[in-house]
Amino acid sequence: MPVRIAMIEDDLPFAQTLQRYFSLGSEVRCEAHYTTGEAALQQLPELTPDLVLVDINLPHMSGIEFVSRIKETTPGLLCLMLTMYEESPLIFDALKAGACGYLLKRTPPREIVAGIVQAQAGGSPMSPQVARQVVSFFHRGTEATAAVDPEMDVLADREREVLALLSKGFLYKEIADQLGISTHTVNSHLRRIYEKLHVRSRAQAVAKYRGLT
Amino acid sequence: MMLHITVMRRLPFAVRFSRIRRGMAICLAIGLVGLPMCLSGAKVTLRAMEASTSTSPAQLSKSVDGIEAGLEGWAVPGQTDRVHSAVFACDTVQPAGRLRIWLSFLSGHTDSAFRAFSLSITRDATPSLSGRWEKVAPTWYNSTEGEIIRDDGRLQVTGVLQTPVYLVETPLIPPGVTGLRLDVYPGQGVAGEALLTEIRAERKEVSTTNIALGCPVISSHPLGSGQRPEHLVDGLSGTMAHPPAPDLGDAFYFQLDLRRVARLDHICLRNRADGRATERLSKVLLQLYDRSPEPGVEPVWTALHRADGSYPEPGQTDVVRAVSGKGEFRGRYLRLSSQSPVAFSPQLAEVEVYESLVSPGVDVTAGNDKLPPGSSFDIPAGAPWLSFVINNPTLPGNLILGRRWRIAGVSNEWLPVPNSGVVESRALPPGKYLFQASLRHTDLEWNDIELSVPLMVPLPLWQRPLVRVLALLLCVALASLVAWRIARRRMAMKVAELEQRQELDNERARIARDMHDVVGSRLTQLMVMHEIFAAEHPLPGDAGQKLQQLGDTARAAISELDEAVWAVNPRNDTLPSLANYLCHIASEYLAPLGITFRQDVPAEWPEVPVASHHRHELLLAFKEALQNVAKHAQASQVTIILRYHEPDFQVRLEDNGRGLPEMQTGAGKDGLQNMTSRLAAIGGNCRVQSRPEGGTMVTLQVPLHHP
Repeated sequence: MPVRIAMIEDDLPFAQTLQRYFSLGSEVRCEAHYTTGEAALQQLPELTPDLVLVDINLPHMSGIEFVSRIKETTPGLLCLMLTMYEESPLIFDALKAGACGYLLKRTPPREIVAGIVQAQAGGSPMSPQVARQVVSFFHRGTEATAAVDPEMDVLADREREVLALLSKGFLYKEIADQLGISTHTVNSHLRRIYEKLHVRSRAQAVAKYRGLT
Repeated sequence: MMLHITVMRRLPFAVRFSRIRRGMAICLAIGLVGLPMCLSGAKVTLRAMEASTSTSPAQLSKSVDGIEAGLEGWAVPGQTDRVHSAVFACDTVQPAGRLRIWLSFLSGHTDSAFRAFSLSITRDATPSLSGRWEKVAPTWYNSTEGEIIRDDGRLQVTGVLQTPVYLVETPLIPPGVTGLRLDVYPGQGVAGEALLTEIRAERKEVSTTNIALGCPVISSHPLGSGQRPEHLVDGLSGTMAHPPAPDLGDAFYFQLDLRRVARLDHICLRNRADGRATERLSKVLLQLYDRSPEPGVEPVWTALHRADGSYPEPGQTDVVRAVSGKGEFRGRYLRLSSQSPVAFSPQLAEVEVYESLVSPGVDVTAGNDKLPPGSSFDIPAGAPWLSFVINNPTLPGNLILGRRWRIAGVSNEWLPVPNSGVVESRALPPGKYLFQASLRHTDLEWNDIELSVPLMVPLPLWQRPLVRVLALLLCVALASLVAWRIARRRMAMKVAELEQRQELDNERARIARDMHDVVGSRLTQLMVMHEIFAAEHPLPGDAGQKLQQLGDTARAAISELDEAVWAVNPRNDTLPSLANYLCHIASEYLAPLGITFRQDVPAEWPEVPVASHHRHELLLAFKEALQNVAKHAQASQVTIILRYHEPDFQVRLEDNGRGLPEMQTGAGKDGLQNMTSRLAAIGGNCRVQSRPEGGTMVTLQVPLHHP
């Protein structure tokens, strides 16, 4: 059963080429393509895809803003960012907004397909750089948001261990071996970390809105 | 003068007395010779002091009681063989002048007047009979009755005398007279006593600059009858004197005593006015002496006047100036003789000597500012007009002389000065001038020497060199100020330009990014298309591999483009960004090679700025190090260790490969050199060491300077 996806990409030739590549195989079926985040916001809820590929650099509404909006209406929708650059501030902002990972556009297309499949299967790709940022993010300002769910506000010990290894460049399998767990569990941890990241950053945004920080 | 001469010429020759009387009348009509200004007389109040007669003081004082007629006064016995005298004191010490004395004999008795008498003066504080007296020779005398003749200072009266009034006038008497003495001589055959009923005196101010008037005169030989040497200085053109004999030649002389050594301006020699024997005034030798001209004393000035034998017109006055003679024109004694062959030469009616007179000074007022007195004047620049007060020398009788003035350098024409002495001039252009003023003697001759006062009119302020220099400096200062302002503006513009350049940098980054977006996405598209092509059209072996290379090339191009954009993007000019990027490219580079990549990197970095070219050099050196590891170390694992110890950023790559020796030769060595030179360019260094546990450690260290 193919993963049903939608794509938001303003670069039409690239989007079409990628769609054509997806159509070669059966793992991924791209059911919709939008050139703006606004259009996607209107139509995606009806389409209910499994996953959406979001270009970070969109005209008008940015990909990051789109993610944070769609997460409000459709929290379960998986968002994978597509980006031209390994530009961590933007990527990290997207992750905080609710994305569950990112892919570079120059990644060989079959790896893009693999990434989509893994994400659908519960996998959470995370680079060592991002892992370090997450650690840093949770290390900073622990006092700020004791709001919604205390458990969501801090990282569990195991999660911290996973992040520590990840940030040193260990592969998922190595981490699983080191910690005596399965790679699936590693992925779960990371998925949860993404959630916490999202929740925490939202809480922060709200707190900021309320003038608490 | 012409009138005078004409009238005199018409006079018939008569007895001398009557001529004198006539002359007196003429003088009264047209003024005295050399006295162009006749001033009215001032009364001299007399006080009777004592007399040699038995007259009581009360009686004597009746002669000065103001009552002309009567039977009281000073009585002098007629039958006496001695000279009787009476002394009268002046109420005040008299200034210089001529004294006019009226003697009234108005008792009503016939023949009760003095027949022979003389007049003396004293300068004693208290005039008395025993005091020091000086006889004066009257130059003027007249009587209402009978006739008066002068005989060696004595006046003798002839004719029938009933109630006569004598008028006697002295020559110029120097100041200081305190009293008068009348001497009455016996032996004139008067039967009864003579009674002086009143004596009245008046002083006439002398208004002349002729210093010879009334001065003592002697002659080398006694003169003929009726002539006296004093005639030369009596101020009367009608009197004259000449040698007593026709053949005395230059052995005869007249000698005037000016009483002091005077610096002279000119000497006037007047010819007799009646037209007779006027040729006797020729080849006159004038000699001036400082000391009494005894034998052996040389004259200080000598002139031979009318050396050509010519002679002046009757009554004409010849003016002799300094230029006519040799020596210095000064002296006390003036000796006059003649070298003329004409008998009875020299014959002179009057000799006048004029002292050189110069105004004592000038007061200058520029605009409204009176300038301090001095011998020269600096006229303030910009004075609208100049006013000069030409001072008059202090002269006897408060005589005010005629004056003239000019400013040499402006006009050489002399201008008259009003009696006030004030003249005005318009402002003078800057320069040096000579203000000049000269005085006119009472004989209307201008004094040779004039007052000369230098005037300096400075350049106006703005024309003076110093002021110009100052102005120039001011201009320079102003220019500097302006230049400074301009420089500041330029600086501001430069700052603006720099800001603009910053904008430009951003713009360049944006362009690079746009390029990356467009070209990059096409390359990405190409890469995907290649995959599609490879999937749809499987190629046999070799062709498939080459197609794969095509895809790899596209991917490499994207990667390099990515790197270029990263390098130019100013947003990446921070340490965290640099650290992340180094990890990223190491990961990208090593992953395809199957080399395990470990990272020992702090989760948090200080936001230290890194200059873009530092970034670039470090990145290139880092890639060089990565390539060395990949190509030569044969390592299976590489660890990157990033540290920041202010101010140094340290990048360490540790591998588990073959170790150092290989690194120091061949291509590895070249790479090391490249790294070293790149880092040295930004003040950093590079070390390659062997790890004790095996493998190599490459350390790149770069100082990151805070701006």
